[in-house]
Amino acid sequence: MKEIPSKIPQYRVTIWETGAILLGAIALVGVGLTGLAMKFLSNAATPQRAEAIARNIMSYSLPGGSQGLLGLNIAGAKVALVASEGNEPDIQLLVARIPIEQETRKRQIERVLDAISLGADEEEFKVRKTREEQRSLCGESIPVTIKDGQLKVAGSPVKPAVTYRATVKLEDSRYLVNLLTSGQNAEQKAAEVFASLECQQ
Amino acid sequence: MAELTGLSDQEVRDRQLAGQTNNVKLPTSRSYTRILRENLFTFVNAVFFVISGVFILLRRPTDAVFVAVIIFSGVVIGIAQEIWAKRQLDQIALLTRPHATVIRNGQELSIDPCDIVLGDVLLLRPGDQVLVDGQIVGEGRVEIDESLLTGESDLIPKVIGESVYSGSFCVSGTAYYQAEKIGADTVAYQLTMGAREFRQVYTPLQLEINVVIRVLLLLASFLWLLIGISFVSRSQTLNEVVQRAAVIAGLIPAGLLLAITLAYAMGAVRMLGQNVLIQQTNAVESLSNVDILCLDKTGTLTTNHIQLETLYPIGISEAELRSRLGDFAASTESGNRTSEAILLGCPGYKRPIQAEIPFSSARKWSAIAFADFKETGTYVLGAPEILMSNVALNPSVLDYIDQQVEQGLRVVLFAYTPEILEKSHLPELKPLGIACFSDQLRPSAQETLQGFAKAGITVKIISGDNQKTVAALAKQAGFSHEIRVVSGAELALMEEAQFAQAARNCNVFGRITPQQKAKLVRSLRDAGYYVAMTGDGVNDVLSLKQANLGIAMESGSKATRGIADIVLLKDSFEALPHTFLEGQRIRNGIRDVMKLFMVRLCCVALLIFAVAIVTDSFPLLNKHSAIVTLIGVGIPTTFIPIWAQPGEQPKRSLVRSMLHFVIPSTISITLVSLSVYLLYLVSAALDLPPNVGMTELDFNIPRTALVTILVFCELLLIPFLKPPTTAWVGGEPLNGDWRYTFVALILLIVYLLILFIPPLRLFFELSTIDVYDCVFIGLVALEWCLIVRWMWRTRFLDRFLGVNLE
Repeated sequence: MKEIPSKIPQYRVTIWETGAILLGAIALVGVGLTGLAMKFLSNAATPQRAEAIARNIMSYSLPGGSQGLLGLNIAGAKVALVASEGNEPDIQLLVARIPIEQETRKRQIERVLDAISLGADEEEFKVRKTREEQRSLCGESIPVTIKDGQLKVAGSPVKPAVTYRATVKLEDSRYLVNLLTSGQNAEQKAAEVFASLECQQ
Repeated sequence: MAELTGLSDQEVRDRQLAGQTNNVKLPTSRSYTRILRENLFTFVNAVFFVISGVFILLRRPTDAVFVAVIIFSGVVIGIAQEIWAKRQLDQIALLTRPHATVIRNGQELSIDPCDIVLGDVLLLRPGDQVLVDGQIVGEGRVEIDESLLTGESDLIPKVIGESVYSGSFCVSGTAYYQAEKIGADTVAYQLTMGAREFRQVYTPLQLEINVVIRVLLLLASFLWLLIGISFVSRSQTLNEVVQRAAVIAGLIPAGLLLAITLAYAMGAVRMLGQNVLIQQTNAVESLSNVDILCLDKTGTLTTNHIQLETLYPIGISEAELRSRLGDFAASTESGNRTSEAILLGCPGYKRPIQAEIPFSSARKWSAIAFADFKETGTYVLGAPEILMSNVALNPSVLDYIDQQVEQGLRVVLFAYTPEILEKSHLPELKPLGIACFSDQLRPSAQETLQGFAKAGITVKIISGDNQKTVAALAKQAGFSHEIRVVSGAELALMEEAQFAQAARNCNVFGRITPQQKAKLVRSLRDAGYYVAMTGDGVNDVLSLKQANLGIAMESGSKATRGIADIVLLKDSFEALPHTFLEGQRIRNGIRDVMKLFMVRLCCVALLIFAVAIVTDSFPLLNKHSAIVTLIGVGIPTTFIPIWAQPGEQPKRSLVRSMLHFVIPSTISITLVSLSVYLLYLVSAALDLPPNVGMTELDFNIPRTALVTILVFCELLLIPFLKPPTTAWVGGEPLNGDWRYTFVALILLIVYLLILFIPPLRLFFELSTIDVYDCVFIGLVALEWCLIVRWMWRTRFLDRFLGVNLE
């Protein structure tokens, strides 16, 4: 019978080996995270998914139909951007629903929403007039910030544009709406779309 | 004693018809009922049965069948193998059981002890066990060792009218006794049955594994309690609860203890091929623990074929010396190998005896007073150094004795006294001559001793012979480079501390009494050694009982065989080193099995807690847990004990010896598999449909990824456990055996087939994961290999914890 030795020999581990193991681990973590990021972006940019997320937050009616542009679903918070049909959509609607329990993260989320909110770029959207009106959203009377101005998109002529910005708290969720309409009858379209909004629980 | 005629055939028949026979059988191995009970009705099996029943109620028959199949396949295989081993052991026990010599119709008959009837007259000779309770009849005189019954080691002389009890044995003399109590009425039966009923002796390894199992049982009970609470408080479905209960039940390695018992039984059966009979299941365990082996010279180093070499007459002619020695040897009623050798060299007549003091190892001399000699008096034969205080020897005789002893010969002095000796006190003696005997060294003695050295066992020779004789023989056998001798007389003068030191430091002990032999063994045990003792004569019984492991020769006395844990059939002493290695092999196999079990159990337990904390979910389903267990541990551990190799492992606790391997692998596998699970969980969350909340997250893909990484890591752990090349050395020393790695590879292919063949995948409730994911998980497993090897080789955890885990 062959006998096994009882002692484990000491092997020297070089710094190169340690470095290689570390690099390997970093590479694998990188691959994993990259895969997640790609999936996140790919999902976010899927029109059907974006529209489904938007409709899961609020029901809406865009004249001439709608298309999803961006949909995010992160840890219970949902954000979606939809637009009217066409290459140069004249209506863009950004809706979000954030669970109230995430209020601590509310400011961070609002900052993100501000960054991606419609008409936030002063180069693109020149505000002429800002007013606040009391409107009804999801059965609640809330103050809505309305901005009138001119929208300049590269390669297109300057158009009149209107943005609506509002937020409402319902039960355990906060809803955010950011609407941008442009072109002829921008004011009317914005009013119609805003009036069509219904929060989904 | 010739007038004893015993029972007639008719009397025997009458008593047989009246049921007055000794027909009770003490179990030689575990009964069929016990085998069935211990395999089937265990707590964990009961839990699995309940879980299986609930699955049927929940209309999940595949889960129920799967659980039942796993239990029953284990149970059926266990029962079948145990019954096979039991039958083998029972057959051997039948072959080696003692026979009774009875007087019937005035003739001696050898019969099975079961055939003894009430009133039978039985013969008792040195080394014979008293088989039934009775009373001495006739003129014989015996000295009885009742230590097995009373614990007292003093020999009790018995003559006519005195009682003898079964379980005791005859040390010297010859007598007859009449059976008065038989079968279940005997003292030995009652003692033995009582002991069997109330005392279950576990081996050190079994004890440790028991503790591990109980700790895991506590952990499982705690988790079951938590599941029960969550069922009530969080309104989970019954299916979820039962799935989790089944996974938790898998944390208890209930089959491990049975597997170990089975490994021992199989080992015992395997050793039969080496002419080694294992009488106690513990013996295999004991074998692997032994670090000191105490040998009696005769029958181990030597063949016990004693020959008279020379005679040295003192004051009488050689012919006269031969004649008297011949008469002495022919007339003694307590004959032994020495008297047989005398008789071969010095023919003599059996003469009537006026008085006899039989030989005993404690006295080291015997005496006979003949009834028909002209000159009355007593002849004494014994060890010169014992008789020397009563006999005056001139220097030339002493020189002669020294010369003979240094050649390894056994020397005895024959002397005479005109007094009739009836007690053990010796008067002044007149020397008549010196007889020198040789005992042949076994041809394999040297090889056998080398085998012990190779197995890491220190050998000590403890003999009743002169220490110089023993040392000379030991030297001839190539016993040791450094022989350190001490005699019984020297030991007798030592204080306790000195005695203990001598026991540790010396390796040849001569002129040792049975009591000293036992004390030496006890002293070595007290010093922390695991001591085995070999013996053949009744003088070895005391020390065999003191040793952790008693080994007897088949040709030895029945009493020695009766109490020994191991009997060397055909006196195959040379098989003993192999047997030690076999013991080490079994222990190493069990240790390796335990390591894999522990890694899996700890990983799953940690994952249950970690996943609950991080994601508020449960990591595995019942079938997932089953596949991780079967492929990762269950199937590999059936091969490990079969292919295990001997090799001395440090003598320390099983759990302690596993830490170096188990802790780094458990921590690293848990972290890696948790990372993989979370990665796929986030991925699943990203894929969650917009109208579905997190509570409805589909855990199946993360669970499939978790099962895959666990199986990959567990299979990659096998080459780390048995490294085929130095590249895999870290947790364990180099093994060089590729078979384990091939098994791991085959099992990897089996798992991939399960993962990619839809019906199998569906049966095991695994999700589809694409090839890229599989490759990714494979790469993670390979990276884990490098990490865990790095942890082992750099002793990362040892440094972090500040302890040496190896």
